[in-house]
Amino acid sequence: MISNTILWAAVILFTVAVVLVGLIAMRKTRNTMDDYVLGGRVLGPVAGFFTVTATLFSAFSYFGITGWFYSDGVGAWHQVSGTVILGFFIYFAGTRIWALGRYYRFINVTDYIGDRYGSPATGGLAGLVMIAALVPYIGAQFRGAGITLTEMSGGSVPFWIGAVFLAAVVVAYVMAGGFRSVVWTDVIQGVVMYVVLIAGAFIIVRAVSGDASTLMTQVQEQDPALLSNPGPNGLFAFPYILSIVLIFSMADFVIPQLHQRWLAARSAMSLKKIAISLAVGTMVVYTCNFFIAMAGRVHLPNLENPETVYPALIAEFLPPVLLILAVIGILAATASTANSTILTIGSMVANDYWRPIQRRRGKMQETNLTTVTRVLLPFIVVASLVIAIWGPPQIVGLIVDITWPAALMVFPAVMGGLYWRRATAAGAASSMIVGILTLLLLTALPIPLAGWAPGIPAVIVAIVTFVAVSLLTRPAPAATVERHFAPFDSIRVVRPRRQTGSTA
Amino acid sequence: MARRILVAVIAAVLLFLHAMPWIPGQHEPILFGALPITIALWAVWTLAVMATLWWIAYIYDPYAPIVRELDDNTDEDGVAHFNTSQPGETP
Repeated sequence: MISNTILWAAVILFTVAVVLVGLIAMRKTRNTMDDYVLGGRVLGPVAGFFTVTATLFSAFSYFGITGWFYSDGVGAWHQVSGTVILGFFIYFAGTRIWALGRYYRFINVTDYIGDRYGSPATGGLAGLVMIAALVPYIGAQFRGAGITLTEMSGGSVPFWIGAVFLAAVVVAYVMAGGFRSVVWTDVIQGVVMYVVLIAGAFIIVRAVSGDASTLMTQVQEQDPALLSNPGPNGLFAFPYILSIVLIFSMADFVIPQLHQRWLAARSAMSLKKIAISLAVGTMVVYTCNFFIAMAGRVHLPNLENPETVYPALIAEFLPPVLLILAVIGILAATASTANSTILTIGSMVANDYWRPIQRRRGKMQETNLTTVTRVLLPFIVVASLVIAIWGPPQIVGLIVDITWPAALMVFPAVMGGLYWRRATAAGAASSMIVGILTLLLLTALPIPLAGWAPGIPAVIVAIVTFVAVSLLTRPAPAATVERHFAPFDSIRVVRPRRQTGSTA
Repeated sequence: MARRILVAVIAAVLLFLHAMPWIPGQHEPILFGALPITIALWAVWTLAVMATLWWIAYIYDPYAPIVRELDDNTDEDGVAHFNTSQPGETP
């Protein structure tokens, strides 16, 4: 528990800072979807690195991952491997998406799917899957804010007040400044996160054990299984780790709030730098989380809820200035993930569902779309708050079980669209429907999967369905397909030229 | 074809190493007394794979020609215009 003075100082500082950023961003934002939703497509490598990490690292990273290390040991680090594979997806498939976005002005992944398959309905279906997956995820962020304020105030601030407070602040600055306010707050949050986690890990380990070596000895004496896989509860066996690595890397690539960052990159060079730096940044975060969690095992060995280990430790050991920064960091982490996701869902609903209706009525104007996106934001936030307050209790469970596996079912449609000319709208739509149904079935029924997460068999079924239905249905018109493949024909031209050069 | 098979094998090995950096259930040494070997190996694989990606993206860079073409066809407003003489292009 921390003093009310420090807590409120942090809350007020955080609110003033983000609202100020929102207002400045509002003055620079033009009333077009390209500008409001993608910041005019000028995202550089440094801002890109921070906004991608801030969008990835949320309440989940502070509470969920530290709690996971605390209860299941060293294996939680495997999620870094997911960002390693994601780096390859960003460079190879992301550069294609980025280039196509430049040519055809796509603003999100569902926009791309609708255009690639010549079927707005297929894009709309992908949108529905994503919205169903992401609303609980935003709820998890608001819950993170609620837990923080409750834990740090020693219970004097009710959980729901923290959740509603963060929701109100986020919706205010996203409505004002759109993508720019999201990215600028992400940069601030990212810097604060790295400073607080690194300094926090050093201070907490030093205070609890003196040094890392003593800490490891103490952990080994308490429960050596914490320092090896599959961990004390047997969770991190080979099939489970491989499942999570594959699910997170593939889903991260197509999940719309991250996908918008690939589209918003200023250049292919920016994208490359993001692809390479992401895993290194993740590695630093997870290593700090590991040491903090192990210090928690030594100092607070019997916590009922492992997700409270991080706030409990920083409240006890961090000096006041760093503590204020830490509280701001946690609030900003939850906000920075929620803000991107809310903006993305708002833009998807406006672009994929509202725009076709208005176009049919002949009333379509670009400025209307940004207004509709803004108006939708509070509704998305209210839906997420309902889940935050009345949803299931574990943040990690919520995200691992719902958000990423559901987003993963869109992966075959995106990759097939990028690399396979024969892919059809029927194949893409059926793969999403069959994949989701399989996922729900495998999650709900007690079917033994030999340690594999349900998302893996479900995505295999989705891929098989995608290929089979695509081959059985009529190919898309050549013009629609070539629109997406012709820009990359020059890749094939380069190879023979290089071979000729080497033999000459 | 041989190069593709080699790449696939290396990718599979690295993926395997990521999923199983140390034999499960076996005693794991603590490197320098401070870092479990699992995390140390994970860090090594991560840096190795990122170095490979760096080589692909900066030295090999199969996308260089399309990025050049795109830059050449981008107007002052940042809008890229695809060469309409390409087969299959739609307005």
